[in-house]
Amino acid sequence: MRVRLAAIEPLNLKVFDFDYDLTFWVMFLSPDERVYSRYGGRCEKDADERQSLAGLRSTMESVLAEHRSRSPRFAPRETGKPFFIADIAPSRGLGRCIHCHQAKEVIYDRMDREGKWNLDMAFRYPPPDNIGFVLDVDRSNVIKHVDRTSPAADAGLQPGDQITSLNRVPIHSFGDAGFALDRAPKRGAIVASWRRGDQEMSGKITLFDRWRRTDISWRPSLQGFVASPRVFGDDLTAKEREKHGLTAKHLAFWQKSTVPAQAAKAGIRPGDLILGFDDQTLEMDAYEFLLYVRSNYVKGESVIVNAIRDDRRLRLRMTLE
Amino acid sequence: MLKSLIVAFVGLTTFVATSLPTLAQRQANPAQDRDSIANGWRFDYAEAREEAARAKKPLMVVMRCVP
Repeated sequence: MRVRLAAIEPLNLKVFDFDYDLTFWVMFLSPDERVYSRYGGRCEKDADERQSLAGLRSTMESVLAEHRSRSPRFAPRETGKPFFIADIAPSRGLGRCIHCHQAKEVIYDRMDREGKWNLDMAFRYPPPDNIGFVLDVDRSNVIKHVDRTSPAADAGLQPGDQITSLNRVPIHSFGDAGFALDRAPKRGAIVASWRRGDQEMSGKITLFDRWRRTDISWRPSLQGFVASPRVFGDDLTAKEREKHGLTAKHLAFWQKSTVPAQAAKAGIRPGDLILGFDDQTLEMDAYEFLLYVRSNYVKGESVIVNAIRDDRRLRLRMTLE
Repeated sequence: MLKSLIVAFVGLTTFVATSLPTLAQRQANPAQDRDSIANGWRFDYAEAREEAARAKKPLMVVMRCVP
């Protein structure tokens, strides 16, 4: 049964619990509102990087098979009194609809006022890439790639495996994986189950510190939280690297003559040799460092800037604003 | 009297000007797209749930922001 909706206001958000920064999403439900699957999702690269018509079809087939099975599985959901966005957002006037990401902003605003919001909550619906595997965009829950050194590889996952559940959530799509990971703890382990040929397999995926961190720059609801490194400049030449005992891949750039106020306040000066943040050994160039900061920090967090000035190593504390 | 009429006119004009884009947006809603209806799409969630229960079918609910 196909239903097309264009407004979030009449929906019980305890059922329609999704990544509200998206402008297109699909929910597969039983008539009594138990959730089979969620389809949709994106990343910072492109709005369609993680979805396709073939992928939607694949998820639809997977959901139909689930529906027809003897004991269909459903995603966990919050129960109790229905929750509508109008319950916390004032009316916006006759016929005026709100965007889904605005629903998220209203919810976060309320949590902030109640003291329940924290910076970690900026990283909602982390992609499975964060634990080391990438799903095939056209084959919904089939793994396309596994990072060689990652929690997913340690658990035994391989390309071609079909993920059937993650953190006790049935997986039919990238959207389901994001939902499953959204419910995962900050650290510890979650269980994954998968199918390889005729074999049913499972393993534990270890969650390392800051595993949820990802690029939030595409999210309309979080534009006020996107961090900028506040330090920038030209990469060192090969000769300069040699002089400072740095490898060809190690992040190292000269701070430009313009120093943003936040960096100047931290004590950074033009011409400082910047090596990165928080004593991390980073193998990237100055541009990649910008993307790295966007994926790993949010505004308001404090970092240690690692730098060299006059052959002296410096550790300068700076707040990302 | 004249002042009240001017205030009422300005108020009405403002209301119409701010409401028209929203009403236009609603009219672009595919609920009024005959092709979608002919192809079996439902636009009333509650009705679709009842129909799905009778037919013992799952629901596929598509949410698409109308810009």
